[in-house]
Amino acid sequence: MRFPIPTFRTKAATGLTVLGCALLAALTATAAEVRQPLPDAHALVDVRVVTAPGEVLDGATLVIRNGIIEAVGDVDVPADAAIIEFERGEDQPPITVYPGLIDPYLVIAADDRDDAPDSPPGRHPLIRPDVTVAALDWPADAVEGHRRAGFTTALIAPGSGLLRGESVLANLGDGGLSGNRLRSGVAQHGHLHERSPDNGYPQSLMGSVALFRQTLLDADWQQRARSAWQNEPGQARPEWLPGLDALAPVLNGDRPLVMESRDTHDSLRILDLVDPSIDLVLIGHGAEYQRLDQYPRTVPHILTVDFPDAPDVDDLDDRDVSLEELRHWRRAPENPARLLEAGVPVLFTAHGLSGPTDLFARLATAIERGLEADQALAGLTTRPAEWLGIADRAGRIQTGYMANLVVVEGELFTEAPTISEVWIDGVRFELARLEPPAVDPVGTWALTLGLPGMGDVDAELVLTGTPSSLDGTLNTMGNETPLSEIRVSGKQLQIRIDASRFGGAGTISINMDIDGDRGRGNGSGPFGEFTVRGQRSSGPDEEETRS
Amino acid sequence: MKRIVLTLAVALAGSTAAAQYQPDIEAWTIDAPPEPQTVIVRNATLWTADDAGILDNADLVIEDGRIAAVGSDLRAPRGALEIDGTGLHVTPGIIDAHSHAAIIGGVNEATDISTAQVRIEDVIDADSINIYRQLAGGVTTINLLHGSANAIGGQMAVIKLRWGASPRELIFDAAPAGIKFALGENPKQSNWSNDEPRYPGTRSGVAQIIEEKFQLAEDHQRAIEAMPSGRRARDVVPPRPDLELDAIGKILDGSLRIHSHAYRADEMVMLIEVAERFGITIGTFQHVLEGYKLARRMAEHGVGGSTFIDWWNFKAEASDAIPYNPALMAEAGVLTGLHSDNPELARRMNLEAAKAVRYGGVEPHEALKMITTGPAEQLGVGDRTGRLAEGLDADFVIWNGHPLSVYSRVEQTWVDGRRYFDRETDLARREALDTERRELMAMVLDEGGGDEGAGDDEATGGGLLGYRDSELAHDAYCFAHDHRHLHAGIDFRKGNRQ
Repeated sequence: MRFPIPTFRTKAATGLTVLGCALLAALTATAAEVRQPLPDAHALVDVRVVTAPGEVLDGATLVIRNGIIEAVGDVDVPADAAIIEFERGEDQPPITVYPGLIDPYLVIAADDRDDAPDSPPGRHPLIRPDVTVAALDWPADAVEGHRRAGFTTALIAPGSGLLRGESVLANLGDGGLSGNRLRSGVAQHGHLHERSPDNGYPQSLMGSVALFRQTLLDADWQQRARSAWQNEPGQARPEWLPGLDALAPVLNGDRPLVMESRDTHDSLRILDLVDPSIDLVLIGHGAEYQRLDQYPRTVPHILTVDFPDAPDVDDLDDRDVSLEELRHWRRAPENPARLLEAGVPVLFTAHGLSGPTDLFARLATAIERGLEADQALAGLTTRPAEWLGIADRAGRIQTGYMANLVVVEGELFTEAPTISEVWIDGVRFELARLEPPAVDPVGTWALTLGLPGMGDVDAELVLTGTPSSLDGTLNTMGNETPLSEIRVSGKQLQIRIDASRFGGAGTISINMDIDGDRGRGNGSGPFGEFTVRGQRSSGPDEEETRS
Repeated sequence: MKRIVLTLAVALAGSTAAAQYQPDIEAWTIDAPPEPQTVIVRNATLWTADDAGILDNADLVIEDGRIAAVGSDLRAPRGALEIDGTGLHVTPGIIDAHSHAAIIGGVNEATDISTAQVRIEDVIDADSINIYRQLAGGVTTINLLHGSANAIGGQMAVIKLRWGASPRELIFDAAPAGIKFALGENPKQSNWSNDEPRYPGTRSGVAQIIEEKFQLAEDHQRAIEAMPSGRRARDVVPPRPDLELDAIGKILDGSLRIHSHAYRADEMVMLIEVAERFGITIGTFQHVLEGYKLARRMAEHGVGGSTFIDWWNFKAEASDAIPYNPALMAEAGVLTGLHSDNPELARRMNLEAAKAVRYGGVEPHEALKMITTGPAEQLGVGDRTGRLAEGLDADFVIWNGHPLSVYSRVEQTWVDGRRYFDRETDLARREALDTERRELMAMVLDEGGGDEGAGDDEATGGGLLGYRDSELAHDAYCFAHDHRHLHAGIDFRKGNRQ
């Protein structure tokens, strides 16, 4: 007797087996890949390590394993660690490793979010406290930009509305939010200077303040009303105000409220508006020195260092420049030091700058004007780590901490530090692979910049100093522009110029390979990419130097 | 006409941005002037704005910030600050019951017909140069009012011109709270080019909405009062808080006084009747151009009249304005005052009072009361300021001549017994400021002369002709709507430092 069923079974079994084998093969392949002996232990040897503000180890070894700092100091290199050595010339500054910088305020621009305000009943388009930073919102470009400036961690905050929503604390590695998230719901964010779309309420600052105040009252009421209705069902159910439950931890003092302030009056307004029981933090406006006595010592300030450029003064009789502007230009760089002197906790952010790398030139100015370099570092490492509740794993180079590092040639707080790499969770991001200078570019160069759509532009490049310590200007169209960054890596000259000098935003960078008195390379800037050709007209008499 | 001037100003600003005037003095750099324990002004002509009238060759003694004595041959302790008042006149500090001079971020919240929840107190601009300029015109107290774009506007703030103080310290704590109302063309949006008209569009609709809001506030108040107290409250769903209705509720219980923009007699009668139905008294009518038509009715209700003296015919509902209005109102027993509604006019309020002498034959001393005692009482601070009388705050002005003369100027202005404006000090300081400026400019030149292009509006904190937007705002013509259009062309907010 034959039944069709076994046949059927056999066939099915065969099918399953085939499928199972395929799956197994796939899994095996993946597992095999993972098990590749990718060394997850690294040792940076013979480096200067700033383990925390004011604490420096010279000629130290730094061991990283599985994304965590295993050891630092005069320690042995583990046998399985990949050794990372930095080749240095004698006249070159030592490679210095700092704790990865933490930006306590990286705002996702409103435009980056798909947030066309579509307000259902009971919800105001500017009241968005329940907005969270989702995986899709990951600001990949800003993350990369921040990484280039040595940031390894940031508090990423939504940037739209009066009450804007909750920030997420994340490392700035690859892999998006899922690969980097440290903590969600860190703080609630707000700003009083937003007007309702479509000419709705509010359209004035006092209206925004009133709406803000009403919202906090509503949020408090919602807690009480819902709880009363929960206790006693035999009464009319209270109206539901969507989103406002997200404010409960703020009202309880469990979650900080971070308010962006525009000016002195804005800060005073916010301090007045927000009940002292709320854990308030201000994003400073930069002129706190003006009414310093009005700021309570209990409210930390996250300071922008967006100091004004020097006013345009023709001569001493120029009446078009206001004293107000001159004073602020002069005093703004003192602002961080003044706040610290007054006992106000200060953290620093790259917010408000045209690019995060501008931070260092600004902080260098602030240091010149009284800020201690250790305070600058603390405001970017230990202090934000404490505020953000990660002082046990970030902000220092210490055993057991996340391997978040910045590697700098020399000092970090200089006009234009050379940040050669950052490490995030033990993953290395090489920003500029630097080789010792193999050419001496000192001299005067005639450059021809081939700009797309504009034809050739002539420029004169004047370089002085030595290959490891260069200074220079770029003269074009009657403007003499100082170079913000110059270095030689191997046979390549790398220069950077602040694009605002030419009316653009960001930085213009030029890389030119040098062969004797000729150079050839390319550049990029806000106007696009361009080609560069150079011819040295005068320069060092010597031939190429080698070091 | 004012609108044409402003339009012209906007056009000018576009072409002559470089010629902006920037005031050199900044409020934050000013420490409060010292408060001498005793001050005596000897041998001056004292305009008391009180029953004592004008006293010739008289003395004024200030102790601890208050007026200690007014009279002849007064003694002061050794060490008192002596001011020789020979040939000088002293008046109480001028009080402006209608100003928008030091407000940040908009004078109107023009969106809804009632915005009783908004507060000028939240947006006082202590850095406004107008504060100093008005001190230089003898003004010591001003009432910062919301604009007139809606029937029930925002809550006002009465400030003393303590130049240099923070916004909070400027607030005149003795002043009863008040709120702006508006009637007529502005709240009914007569001159708005608005694609989405708002209810109401008529004067009767304005009357209706005010009454409706009063009723809603009463209901809200009843719901709050019905809440049990103590432990039982936890199980009862409370009424949702409502800052707008809370404020209107305070109007009804008398703790928030109405100061209502109004031109025409009929609408003023309407508001008086609504108020009387709810058992409240209106504080003042502001502008009150047709006040002379219903002066007796106003006096009977007890509402004050705060008016322009000679602003006339700038819109349809202003066609019946006459310069005799203050004289006629005062004659009928209305508590009468003159106001500026304009930061520039506010510096010459003494001349507004002088016009009341010219039109209507008001006695000079009575005319002075229209810018001192009158507005002080309208604002509920008549027992603190507005007169030279024992016990009042030492808010006074020293003039170099007759205070109602165009040839006179202010020599000193004192607030709370502190000399906040002194002509001599001001002249001397200009030199110091110039030196400071030159030193700073030399530093800039040392560093390479500054950035090309950094001297534009945004960087200089310029704004329109050096004014902040708040300083351009005034409300007689309801610029609420115009603002929006002007904003399209020029960003007023550039005036504020980033």
